[in-house]
Amino acid sequence: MNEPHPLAPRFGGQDPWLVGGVVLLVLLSVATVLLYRGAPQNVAEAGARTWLSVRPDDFTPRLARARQARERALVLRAQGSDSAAAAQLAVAAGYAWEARERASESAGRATATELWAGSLLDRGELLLARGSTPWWRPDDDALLSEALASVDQALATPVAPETRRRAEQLRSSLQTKLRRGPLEWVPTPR
Amino acid sequence: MSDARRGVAAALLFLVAAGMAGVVPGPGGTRYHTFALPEGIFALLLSYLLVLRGVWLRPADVPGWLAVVYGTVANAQLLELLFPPPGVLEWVVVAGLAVVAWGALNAGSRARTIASLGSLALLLALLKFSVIPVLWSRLGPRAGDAYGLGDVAESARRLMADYQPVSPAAHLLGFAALGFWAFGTHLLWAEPDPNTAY
Repeated sequence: MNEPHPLAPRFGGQDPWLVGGVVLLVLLSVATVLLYRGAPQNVAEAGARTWLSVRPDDFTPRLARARQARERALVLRAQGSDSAAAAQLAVAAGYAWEARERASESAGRATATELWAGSLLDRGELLLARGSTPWWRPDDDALLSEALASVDQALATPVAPETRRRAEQLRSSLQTKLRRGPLEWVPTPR
Repeated sequence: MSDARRGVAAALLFLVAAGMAGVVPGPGGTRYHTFALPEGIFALLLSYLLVLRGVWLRPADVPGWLAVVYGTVANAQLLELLFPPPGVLEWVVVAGLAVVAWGALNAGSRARTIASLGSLALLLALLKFSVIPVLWSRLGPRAGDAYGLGDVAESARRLMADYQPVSPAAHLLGFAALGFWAFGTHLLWAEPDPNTAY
Protein backbone atom coordinates (compact mmCIF):
# COMPACT_ATOMS: atom_id res chain seq x y z
CA MET A 1 0.00 0.00 0.00
CA ASN A 2 2.93 2.35 0.73
CA GLU A 3 4.68 1.76 -2.59
CA PRO A 4 5.87 5.01 -4.19
CA HIS A 5 4.02 6.34 -7.21
CA PRO A 6 5.62 5.14 -10.49
CA LEU A 7 6.34 8.76 -11.45
CA ALA A 8 7.81 9.67 -8.05
CA PRO A 9 11.48 9.43 -9.13
CA ARG A 10 10.78 11.85 -11.98
CA PHE A 11 9.46 14.39 -9.44
CA GLY A 12 12.42 13.87 -7.14
CA GLY A 13 10.76 11.33 -4.83
CA GLN A 14 8.47 12.48 -2.02
CA ASP A 15 10.60 15.30 -0.67
CA PRO A 16 8.26 17.72 1.21
CA TRP A 17 10.57 20.67 0.49
CA LEU A 18 10.31 19.88 -3.21
CA VAL A 19 6.51 19.76 -3.12
CA GLY A 20 6.45 23.06 -1.22
CA GLY A 21 8.84 24.60 -3.73
CA VAL A 22 6.71 23.55 -6.69
CA VAL A 23 3.54 24.89 -5.02
CA LEU A 24 5.35 28.19 -4.34
CA LEU A 25 6.53 28.26 -7.96
CA VAL A 26 2.97 27.83 -9.26
CA LEU A 27 1.60 30.52 -6.90
CA LEU A 28 4.36 32.99 -7.80
CA SER A 29 3.86 32.30 -11.52
CA VAL A 30 0.14 33.11 -11.23
CA ALA A 31 0.92 36.23 -9.15
CA THR A 32 3.43 37.41 -11.78
CA VAL A 33 0.94 36.95 -14.63
CA LEU A 34 -1.72 38.88 -12.66
CA LEU A 35 0.79 41.63 -11.84
CA TYR A 36 1.69 42.08 -15.51
CA ARG A 37 -1.97 41.96 -16.51
CA GLY A 38 -2.93 44.56 -13.91
CA ALA A 39 0.12 46.77 -14.70
CA PRO A 40 0.00 48.74 -11.40
CA GLN A 41 1.83 52.08 -11.39
CA ASN A 42 3.16 51.92 -7.83
CA VAL A 43 3.55 49.51 -4.92
CA ALA A 44 0.39 50.73 -3.15
CA GLU A 45 -1.64 50.09 -6.28
CA ALA A 46 -0.20 46.62 -6.90
CA GLY A 47 -2.53 44.70 -4.59
CA ALA A 48 -5.72 46.42 -5.70
CA ARG A 49 -4.84 46.25 -9.41
CA THR A 50 -3.94 42.56 -9.21
CA TRP A 51 -7.20 41.87 -7.38
CA LEU A 52 -9.12 43.64 -10.15
CA SER A 53 -7.39 41.40 -12.70
CA VAL A 54 -8.75 38.37 -10.86
CA ARG A 55 -12.28 39.85 -10.82
CA PRO A 56 -12.60 41.17 -14.37
CA ASP A 57 -16.36 41.90 -14.28
CA ASP A 58 -16.51 44.43 -11.46
CA PHE A 59 -17.71 47.89 -12.45
CA THR A 60 -17.83 49.75 -9.11
CA PRO A 61 -14.22 49.12 -7.92
CA ARG A 62 -12.89 50.32 -11.27
CA LEU A 63 -14.97 53.48 -11.13
CA ALA A 64 -13.79 54.10 -7.55
CA ARG A 65 -10.16 53.56 -8.60
CA ALA A 66 -10.63 56.00 -11.50
CA ARG A 67 -11.99 58.67 -9.12
CA GLN A 68 -9.14 58.07 -6.67
CA ALA A 69 -6.52 58.37 -9.41
CA ARG A 70 -8.10 61.61 -10.69
CA GLU A 71 -8.17 63.09 -7.18
CA ARG A 72 -4.57 62.02 -6.66
CA ALA A 73 -3.67 63.77 -9.93
CA LEU A 74 -5.24 67.00 -8.65
CA VAL A 75 -3.17 66.79 -5.46
CA LEU A 76 0.02 66.07 -7.45
CA ARG A 77 -0.67 68.98 -9.77
CA ALA A 78 -1.19 71.30 -6.82
CA GLN A 79 2.19 70.12 -5.50
CA GLY A 80 3.80 70.95 -8.84
CA SER A 81 4.44 67.35 -9.98
CA ASP A 82 2.96 67.80 -13.45
CA SER A 83 4.58 64.70 -14.92
CA ALA A 84 3.26 62.42 -12.16
CA ALA A 85 -0.16 64.10 -12.37
CA ALA A 86 -0.32 63.40 -16.12
CA ALA A 87 0.56 59.75 -15.46
CA GLN A 88 -2.19 59.51 -12.80
CA LEU A 89 -4.75 61.03 -15.19
CA ALA A 90 -3.81 58.41 -17.79
CA VAL A 91 -4.35 55.74 -15.11
CA ALA A 92 -7.72 57.30 -14.19
CA ALA A 93 -8.78 57.29 -17.86
CA GLY A 94 -7.74 53.64 -18.15
CA TYR A 95 -9.80 52.58 -15.11
CA ALA A 96 -12.79 54.65 -16.22
CA TRP A 97 -12.72 53.08 -19.70
CA GLU A 98 -12.57 49.59 -18.17
CA ALA A 99 -15.54 50.51 -15.93
CA ARG A 100 -17.43 51.80 -18.99
CA GLU A 101 -16.90 48.50 -20.78
CA ARG A 102 -18.19 46.58 -17.77
CA ALA A 103 -21.24 48.76 -16.99
CA SER A 104 -24.45 46.77 -17.07
CA GLU A 105 -26.81 49.77 -17.27
CA SER A 106 -26.81 52.99 -19.28
CA ALA A 107 -26.54 55.30 -16.23
CA GLY A 108 -23.36 53.59 -15.06
CA ARG A 109 -21.98 53.66 -18.58
CA ALA A 110 -22.67 57.39 -18.89
CA THR A 111 -21.00 58.10 -15.52
CA ALA A 112 -17.92 56.11 -16.49
CA THR A 113 -17.79 57.78 -19.92
CA GLU A 114 -17.91 61.27 -18.37
CA LEU A 115 -15.18 60.33 -15.91
CA TRP A 116 -13.09 58.94 -18.75
CA ALA A 117 -13.55 62.00 -20.95
CA GLY A 118 -12.98 64.35 -17.97
CA SER A 119 -9.69 62.61 -17.15
CA LEU A 120 -8.56 62.85 -20.78
CA LEU A 121 -9.45 66.53 -20.96
CA ASP A 122 -7.74 67.26 -17.63
CA ARG A 123 -4.65 65.56 -19.04
CA GLY A 124 -4.98 67.55 -22.26
CA GLU A 125 -5.11 70.83 -20.29
CA LEU A 126 -2.15 69.78 -18.20
CA LEU A 127 -0.09 68.93 -21.28
CA LEU A 128 -1.15 72.19 -22.95
CA ALA A 129 0.18 74.09 -19.93
CA ARG A 130 3.41 72.05 -19.90
CA GLY A 131 3.94 72.34 -23.66
CA SER A 132 3.36 76.11 -23.82
CA THR A 133 6.46 78.24 -23.37
CA PRO A 134 7.17 82.03 -23.31
CA TRP A 135 6.99 83.75 -26.70
CA TRP A 136 10.75 83.78 -27.29
CA ARG A 137 11.01 79.97 -27.02
CA PRO A 138 9.32 77.42 -29.31
CA ASP A 139 6.50 75.36 -27.78
CA ASP A 140 6.98 71.64 -27.07
CA ASP A 141 5.08 70.28 -30.07
CA ALA A 142 5.45 66.67 -28.93
CA LEU A 143 3.54 67.38 -25.70
CA LEU A 144 0.95 69.50 -27.52
CA SER A 145 0.39 66.74 -30.09
CA GLU A 146 -0.05 64.23 -27.26
CA ALA A 147 -2.62 66.56 -25.69
CA LEU A 148 -4.43 66.90 -29.01
CA ALA A 149 -4.54 63.11 -29.35
CA SER A 150 -6.14 62.88 -25.87
CA VAL A 151 -8.77 65.47 -26.78
CA ASP A 152 -9.51 63.83 -30.15
CA GLN A 153 -10.01 60.54 -28.32
CA ALA A 154 -12.60 62.18 -26.04
CA LEU A 155 -14.34 63.81 -29.01
CA ALA A 156 -14.60 60.51 -30.88
CA THR A 157 -16.96 59.10 -28.22
CA PRO A 158 -20.48 60.41 -27.43
CA VAL A 159 -20.22 62.56 -24.28
CA ALA A 160 -22.42 65.16 -22.52
CA PRO A 161 -22.85 68.47 -24.42
CA GLU A 162 -20.93 70.40 -21.75
CA THR A 163 -17.97 68.01 -21.93
CA ARG A 164 -18.06 68.22 -25.71
CA ARG A 165 -17.95 72.04 -25.61
CA ARG A 166 -14.98 71.88 -23.24
CA ALA A 167 -13.20 69.41 -25.54
CA GLU A 168 -13.84 71.55 -28.63
CA GLN A 169 -12.48 74.68 -26.90
CA LEU A 170 -9.40 72.80 -25.79
CA ARG A 171 -8.92 71.35 -29.26
CA SER A 172 -9.11 74.80 -30.80
CA SER A 173 -6.50 76.14 -28.33
CA LEU A 174 -4.18 73.24 -29.08
CA GLN A 175 -4.52 73.61 -32.85
CA THR A 176 -3.70 77.32 -32.54
CA LYS A 177 -0.66 76.54 -30.39
CA LEU A 178 0.54 73.94 -32.87
CA ARG A 179 0.74 76.44 -35.74
CA ARG A 180 4.19 77.14 -37.10
CA GLY A 181 6.17 80.02 -35.56
CA PRO A 182 4.37 83.34 -35.11
CA LEU A 183 1.24 82.05 -36.84
CA GLU A 184 -0.04 80.97 -33.42
CA TRP A 185 -0.78 84.63 -32.64
CA VAL A 186 -2.87 85.14 -35.79
CA PRO A 187 -6.56 85.20 -34.74
CA THR A 188 -8.66 82.24 -35.86
CA PRO A 189 -11.41 83.27 -38.31
CA ARG A 190 -14.89 82.57 -36.86
CA MET B 1 21.30 19.75 -1.96
CA SER B 2 19.76 17.21 -4.35
CA ASP B 3 19.53 17.97 -8.08
CA ALA B 4 15.72 18.08 -7.84
CA ARG B 5 15.82 20.69 -5.07
CA ARG B 6 18.40 22.68 -7.00
CA GLY B 7 16.12 22.58 -10.06
CA VAL B 8 13.08 23.93 -8.20
CA ALA B 9 15.13 26.59 -6.37
CA ALA B 10 16.68 27.69 -9.67
CA ALA B 11 13.21 27.82 -11.29
CA LEU B 12 12.01 30.10 -8.47
CA LEU B 13 15.01 32.40 -8.92
CA PHE B 14 14.53 32.49 -12.69
CA LEU B 15 10.87 33.36 -12.19
CA VAL B 16 11.80 36.30 -9.95
CA ALA B 17 14.44 37.39 -12.49
CA ALA B 18 11.91 37.21 -15.36
CA GLY B 19 9.29 39.13 -13.37
CA MET B 20 11.70 41.90 -12.37
CA ALA B 21 13.31 42.27 -15.79
CA GLY B 22 10.05 43.35 -17.43
CA VAL B 23 9.09 46.06 -14.92
CA VAL B 24 10.43 49.40 -16.16
CA PRO B 25 9.61 52.49 -14.07
CA GLY B 26 9.94 55.72 -16.05
CA PRO B 27 9.00 59.40 -15.78
CA GLY B 28 5.65 58.75 -17.53
CA GLY B 29 4.69 55.78 -15.33
CA THR B 30 5.67 52.14 -14.93
CA ARG B 31 5.75 50.04 -18.10
CA TYR B 32 5.50 46.24 -18.19
CA HIS B 33 7.48 44.64 -21.00
CA THR B 34 7.10 41.06 -22.17
CA PHE B 35 9.46 39.50 -24.69
CA ALA B 36 8.68 39.31 -28.40
CA LEU B 37 9.49 36.57 -30.92
CA PRO B 38 13.14 37.60 -31.63
CA GLU B 39 13.98 37.56 -27.90
CA GLY B 40 12.12 34.24 -27.52
CA ILE B 41 14.05 32.57 -30.33
CA PHE B 42 17.34 33.93 -29.02
CA ALA B 43 16.46 32.71 -25.52
CA LEU B 44 15.83 29.18 -26.84
CA LEU B 45 19.22 29.21 -28.57
CA LEU B 46 20.87 30.50 -25.40
CA SER B 47 19.23 27.84 -23.20
CA TYR B 48 20.36 25.14 -25.64
CA LEU B 49 23.92 26.49 -25.47
CA LEU B 50 23.86 26.70 -21.67
CA VAL B 51 22.75 23.07 -21.36
CA LEU B 52 25.12 21.94 -24.11
CA ARG B 53 28.14 23.64 -22.51
CA GLY B 54 27.22 22.24 -19.07
CA VAL B 55 26.52 25.68 -17.55
CA TRP B 56 23.07 24.39 -16.62
CA LEU B 57 22.50 20.83 -15.40
CA ARG B 58 21.19 18.58 -18.15
CA PRO B 59 17.50 18.05 -17.17
CA ALA B 60 16.83 14.49 -16.05
CA ASP B 61 13.54 14.86 -14.17
CA VAL B 62 10.57 17.22 -13.87
CA PRO B 63 12.30 19.73 -11.51
CA GLY B 64 15.24 19.83 -13.95
CA TRP B 65 12.93 20.63 -16.86
CA LEU B 66 11.11 23.22 -14.74
CA ALA B 67 14.43 24.98 -14.21
CA VAL B 68 15.21 24.95 -17.94
CA VAL B 69 11.73 26.22 -18.92
CA TYR B 70 11.75 29.04 -16.36
CA GLY B 71 15.38 29.75 -17.24
CA THR B 72 14.42 30.16 -20.90
CA VAL B 73 11.65 32.60 -19.96
CA ALA B 74 14.13 34.51 -17.78
CA ASN B 75 16.62 34.58 -20.69
CA ALA B 76 13.94 36.02 -22.98
CA GLN B 77 12.89 38.67 -20.45
CA LEU B 78 16.52 39.66 -19.80
CA LEU B 79 17.14 39.94 -23.53
CA GLU B 80 14.06 42.16 -23.74
CA LEU B 81 15.65 44.28 -21.00
CA LEU B 82 19.08 44.43 -22.67
CA PHE B 83 18.31 44.62 -26.39
CA PRO B 84 18.19 48.17 -27.79
CA PRO B 85 14.73 49.76 -28.25
CA PRO B 86 12.95 48.93 -31.53
CA GLY B 87 14.49 50.59 -34.57
CA VAL B 88 17.37 50.24 -37.01
CA LEU B 89 19.85 49.89 -34.14
CA GLU B 90 18.03 46.83 -32.76
CA TRP B 91 17.97 45.18 -36.18
CA VAL B 92 21.72 45.74 -36.57
CA VAL B 93 22.52 44.45 -33.07
CA VAL B 94 20.28 41.36 -33.30
CA ALA B 95 21.56 40.52 -36.79
CA GLY B 96 25.17 40.87 -35.57
CA LEU B 97 24.49 38.71 -32.53
CA ALA B 98 22.76 36.05 -34.61
CA VAL B 99 25.88 35.78 -36.78
CA VAL B 100 28.51 35.73 -34.01
CA ALA B 101 26.65 34.22 -31.03
CA TRP B 102 27.22 30.57 -31.86
CA GLY B 103 30.98 30.99 -32.40
CA ALA B 104 31.46 33.31 -29.43
CA LEU B 105 29.46 31.35 -26.88
CA ASN B 106 30.10 27.77 -27.99
CA ALA B 107 33.90 27.83 -27.75
CA GLY B 108 36.18 26.77 -24.90
CA SER B 109 35.11 25.86 -21.40
CA ARG B 110 31.79 26.73 -19.76
CA ALA B 111 33.61 29.34 -17.66
CA ARG B 112 34.54 31.05 -20.93
CA THR B 113 30.93 30.77 -22.13
CA ILE B 114 29.75 32.58 -18.99
CA ALA B 115 32.50 35.22 -19.34
CA SER B 116 31.51 35.81 -22.99
CA LEU B 117 27.87 36.06 -21.96
CA GLY B 118 28.78 38.57 -19.23
CA SER B 119 30.74 40.72 -21.69
CA LEU B 120 27.83 40.58 -24.13
CA ALA B 121 25.40 41.68 -21.41
CA LEU B 122 27.75 44.53 -20.44
CA LEU B 123 28.00 45.78 -24.04
CA LEU B 124 24.23 45.59 -24.54
CA ALA B 125 23.59 47.42 -21.24
CA LEU B 126 26.16 50.08 -22.19
CA LEU B 127 24.45 50.61 -25.53
CA LYS B 128 20.92 50.78 -24.16
CA PHE B 129 21.40 52.58 -20.85
CA SER B 130 24.36 54.85 -21.61
CA VAL B 131 25.06 55.41 -25.32
CA ILE B 132 21.46 55.78 -26.55
CA PRO B 133 20.31 58.17 -23.76
CA VAL B 134 23.38 60.40 -24.28
CA LEU B 135 22.94 60.50 -28.06
CA TRP B 136 19.21 61.03 -27.58
CA SER B 137 19.73 64.15 -25.50
CA ARG B 138 22.55 65.63 -27.60
CA LEU B 139 21.93 64.57 -31.20
CA GLY B 140 20.25 67.50 -32.95
CA PRO B 141 17.56 69.88 -31.73
CA ARG B 142 14.73 68.51 -29.57
CA ALA B 143 11.23 68.01 -30.94
CA GLY B 144 9.43 71.30 -31.53
CA ASP B 145 12.65 73.35 -31.66
CA ALA B 146 14.32 75.09 -34.59
CA TYR B 147 11.13 75.69 -36.57
CA GLY B 148 10.54 72.16 -37.77
CA LEU B 149 14.16 70.93 -37.80
CA GLY B 150 13.65 69.49 -34.29
CA ASP B 151 10.74 67.38 -35.54
CA VAL B 152 12.91 66.05 -38.40
CA ALA B 153 15.70 65.24 -35.91
CA GLU B 154 13.17 63.54 -33.63
CA SER B 155 11.85 61.32 -36.42
CA ALA B 156 15.43 60.38 -37.39
CA ARG B 157 16.20 59.49 -33.77
CA ARG B 158 12.99 57.44 -33.49
CA LEU B 159 13.92 55.58 -36.67
CA MET B 160 17.28 54.67 -35.15
CA ALA B 161 15.89 53.70 -31.71
CA ASP B 162 12.45 54.36 -30.24
CA TYR B 163 13.98 55.21 -26.87
CA GLN B 164 11.79 55.82 -23.80
CA PRO B 165 13.46 57.37 -20.74
CA VAL B 166 13.68 55.21 -17.62
CA SER B 167 14.11 56.13 -13.96
CA PRO B 168 17.04 55.01 -11.72
CA ALA B 169 14.71 52.38 -10.19
CA ALA B 170 14.62 50.65 -13.59
CA HIS B 171 18.42 50.25 -13.49
CA LEU B 172 18.18 48.82 -9.98
CA LEU B 173 15.44 46.34 -10.97
CA GLY B 174 17.43 45.26 -14.04
CA PHE B 175 20.54 44.74 -11.93
CA ALA B 176 18.55 42.69 -9.37
CA ALA B 177 17.02 40.60 -12.19
CA LEU B 178 20.50 39.80 -13.55
CA GLY B 179 21.62 38.93 -10.02
CA PHE B 180 18.75 36.46 -9.55
CA TRP B 181 19.53 34.91 -12.95
CA ALA B 182 23.20 34.51 -11.96
CA PHE B 183 22.22 32.92 -8.64
CA GLY B 184 19.84 30.51 -10.43
CA THR B 185 22.62 29.61 -12.88
CA HIS B 186 24.99 29.05 -9.95
CA LEU B 187 22.51 26.54 -8.50
CA LEU B 188 22.35 24.69 -11.82
CA TRP B 189 26.15 24.65 -12.19
CA ALA B 190 27.13 20.99 -12.63
CA GLU B 191 30.26 19.63 -10.89
CA PRO B 192 32.69 18.97 -12.49
CA ASP B 193 32.64 20.67 -15.89
CA PRO B 194 31.41 17.95 -18.29
CA ASN B 195 33.18 19.58 -21.27
CA THR B 196 36.71 19.79 -19.92
CA ALA B 197 39.08 17.08 -18.78
CA TYR B 198 40.55 19.18 -15.92
